[in-house]
Amino acid sequence: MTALYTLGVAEVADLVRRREISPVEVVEACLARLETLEPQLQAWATVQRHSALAAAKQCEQAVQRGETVGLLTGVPVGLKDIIYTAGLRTAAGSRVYANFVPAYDATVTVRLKRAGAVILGKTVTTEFATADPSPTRNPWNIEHTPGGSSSGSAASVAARIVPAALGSQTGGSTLRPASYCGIVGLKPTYGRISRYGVIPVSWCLDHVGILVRSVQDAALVLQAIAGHDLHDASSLSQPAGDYSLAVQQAEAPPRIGVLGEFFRDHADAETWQHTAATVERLARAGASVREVALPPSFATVLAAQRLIMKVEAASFHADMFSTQREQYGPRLRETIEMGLVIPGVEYLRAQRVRRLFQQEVPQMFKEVDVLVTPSTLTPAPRGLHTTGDARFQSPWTYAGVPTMTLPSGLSQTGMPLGIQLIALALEEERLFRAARWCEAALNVTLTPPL
Amino acid sequence: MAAERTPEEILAALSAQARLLWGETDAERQRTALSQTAEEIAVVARITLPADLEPKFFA
Repeated sequence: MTALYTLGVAEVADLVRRREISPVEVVEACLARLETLEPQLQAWATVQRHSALAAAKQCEQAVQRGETVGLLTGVPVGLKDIIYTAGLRTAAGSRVYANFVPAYDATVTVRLKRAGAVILGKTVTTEFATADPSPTRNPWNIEHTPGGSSSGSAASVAARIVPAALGSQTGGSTLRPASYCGIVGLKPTYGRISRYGVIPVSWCLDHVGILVRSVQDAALVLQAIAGHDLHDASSLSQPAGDYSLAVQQAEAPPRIGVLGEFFRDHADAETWQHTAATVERLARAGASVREVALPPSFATVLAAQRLIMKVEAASFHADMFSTQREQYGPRLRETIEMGLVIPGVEYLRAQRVRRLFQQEVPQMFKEVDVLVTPSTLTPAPRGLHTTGDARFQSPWTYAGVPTMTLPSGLSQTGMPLGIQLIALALEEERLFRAARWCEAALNVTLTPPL
Repeated sequence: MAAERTPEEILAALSAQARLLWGETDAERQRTALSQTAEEIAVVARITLPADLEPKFFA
């Protein structure tokens, strides 16, 4: 029999709904897996064993009573430790927030619970979701980083501890660790998922991200948590789509635009060759493929993204930083210090450039459904001194357009590689159709040797 | 205007601000980060923006 901890989101929800498996047994299996692997992976900040088992029991009783249950019924989920959980410590990987216990749930926490998900606990984040690395290890090779900042979420989903976890992305913090760990990562359109109750890095750049092991699972989780939220000023007013339906409609081959230039120049040779070979496989399976040029403002996007992030992070941390400067890690400290000296006029110029880039992005989609790049410059780097390089993900976070990484194979050293798919703002359904088609055409599922 | 300044000139202005905020020793420690930030400002300044292009903070 298949081990319960290996089941994905859709499988768990379906089997629980049909009373073929017990959500309590699923949670017990995931908790046991967690306890076995945690000494190696160090992916969890807080585990709420008793609450999770109690929630699973309630779920089981609701199913037995024949009640209507949610999309994620009985699905164990991990939450990045910057996401508020009422009564449960949310330390953000920081000494400053070491004892912080939120009084309320983040909107995403509320919506996950409402959909029947069981919150197993909080996954490790880098300090305040920025660049100082966390202790978490990559399940493919514990000598390598899992990436960051959603380190624990990515490692846990890849290691089959949970079928889904939430992360966040300000530069590349969901897609990069997802790719490094060989799983699916989704960052939807800016404002699609509420940020209310999520500790910010940068208000204009922050997105909640989804880490799962299939495109269908990403659709289910997004379906459960997307939608307007009055508590979040950046929340989209447009209604969420039917993402599960989009996945089912993935029959027609997509029109794919390949971005070379910057991405070809900065990927290492193996990663670029692997991406080219992957795109060739997609073309042989029926996708229409053409090269697409980057718009003129692309040359400025990485610099502008960094300026915005530094200033907004400095603004959020300024008061705490003035009294607890020594409690901050060196990279975040540097980020805040820089943000505090950048003139306001330069910050606003970076915001105007962002608007320009957002206006130019649609030019790239005139004849394609999605764009494709390598998800990362290289496979996960060896060592825990870095969480890797965000340059391939940051431009799209800065633009606020939806992106997804799919696992596409292994490097010569046995580490995962992935492709990044990019769609126009608000076009998650098109992204899902293309991603599901590519997933089926590639037929790559990566399971780490644990 | 930032567009008319070199990274070195921007760095000088940022360093002066850093010295005011943090003192001479810390400003010196921050020199690499200040240089990188100055370069980022210079890159962003190189692009010509339409005069009527307003920032848009949220979606």
